[in-house]
Amino acid sequence: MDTDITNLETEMNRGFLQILVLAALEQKMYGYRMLKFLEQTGYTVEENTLYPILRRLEKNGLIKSEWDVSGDRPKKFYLVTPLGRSVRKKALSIWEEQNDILKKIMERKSHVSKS
Amino acid sequence: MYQNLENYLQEINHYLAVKDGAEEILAEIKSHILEKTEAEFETITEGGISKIISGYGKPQQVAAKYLEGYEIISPTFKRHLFLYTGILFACHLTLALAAFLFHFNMIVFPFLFIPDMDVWQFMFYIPMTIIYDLGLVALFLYIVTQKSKDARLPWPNLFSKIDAAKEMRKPNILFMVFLIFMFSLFLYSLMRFGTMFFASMNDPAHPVPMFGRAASLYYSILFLAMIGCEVIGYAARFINRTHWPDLMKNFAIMILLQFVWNSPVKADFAKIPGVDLNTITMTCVLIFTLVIVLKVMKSLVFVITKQFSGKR
Repeated sequence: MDTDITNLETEMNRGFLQILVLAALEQKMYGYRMLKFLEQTGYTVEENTLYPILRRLEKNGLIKSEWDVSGDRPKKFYLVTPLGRSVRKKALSIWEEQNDILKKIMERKSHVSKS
Repeated sequence: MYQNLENYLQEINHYLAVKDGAEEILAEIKSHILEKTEAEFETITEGGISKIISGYGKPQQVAAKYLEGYEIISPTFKRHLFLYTGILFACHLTLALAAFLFHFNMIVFPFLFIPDMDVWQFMFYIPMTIIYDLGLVALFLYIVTQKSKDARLPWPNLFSKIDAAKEMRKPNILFMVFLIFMFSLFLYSLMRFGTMFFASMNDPAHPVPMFGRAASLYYSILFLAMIGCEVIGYAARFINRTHWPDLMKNFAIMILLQFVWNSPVKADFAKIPGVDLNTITMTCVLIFTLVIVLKVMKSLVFVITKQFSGKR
């Protein structure tokens, strides 16, 4: 049961985290900063999961990156691209539609069980 | 320079089979670990780094996350892997068997080398053949996957269609009678004249044998045994309408042909002016051998292909 929930959560997080990253990167951030930022919002993500997703999003042109070497150590900053914004918008509408469908099904289920 | 961090990154790099950007990935992980260590322990020490590293994950798992979606062979080719290996193995096994029985070498550079083998070498050669064929097909599917995961590879449905059609068809009783009649005729000839092969039948009561006495007997018995196999193989189809009887029959004939090619008896042909009996006979035997080898190969391909095609 626990394993099933963990697997399901991993599957659900896969898409959700990408939307989250696209939303968070409206402001320039590097990986560690982003982890902390997400933690503050109540969402915990494994650090070794975030970086591969950032790389994939960058490869698809949804975010862009640049190294900042001015500080103590080099940091890779990310920012959403216009393409990323439009994908985020679409993804959010899909997510809302899915949410509505789920709500409808759950409401119908509760009606059936009451009657 | 922190040795434990360098070792950790080096190990990730070992598993990180990405085309490009490996250095950048490692630089980012390094930057993250140092930053987190500093944030949690205020100063960066090897001890602190070790704790952060243990939380970051095992190198193999970290590398695997970057490789998600990257496939060596597409899972959709799983059936192709076994089917193609089966077909290749059927051809390879038949050729190896032919090389073993008829004592010849075969080279198709750089894919195939079948040496002339003794029985022990042949026994060791077969398992190696399976591994080789599997490897060759895997290599082919790897290249296809890297080029295009959605490539449509041929699936030989043709085999299963032919197979199904052949299974539906009942063996002909008249042909069975004809085969038995031929067998009886040749058996009679062998018993009456001591041979089944004649150079001349101008005088039906005293036909001229094609070979001397010993060779006549030897080759006639072999030929009669081959017809016997044909009769039994055809009769077996009344009970079992798969390709197995065909395979067994042709395999038995192939073994008998081996005794023709490696005969201990000298084929002393009768002398007929203007006719080279030796060349004619050897050509016929060669063609017949090739036909039988191809039939064994075909039956083996059918038998193996059916195992996969039927389950599709």
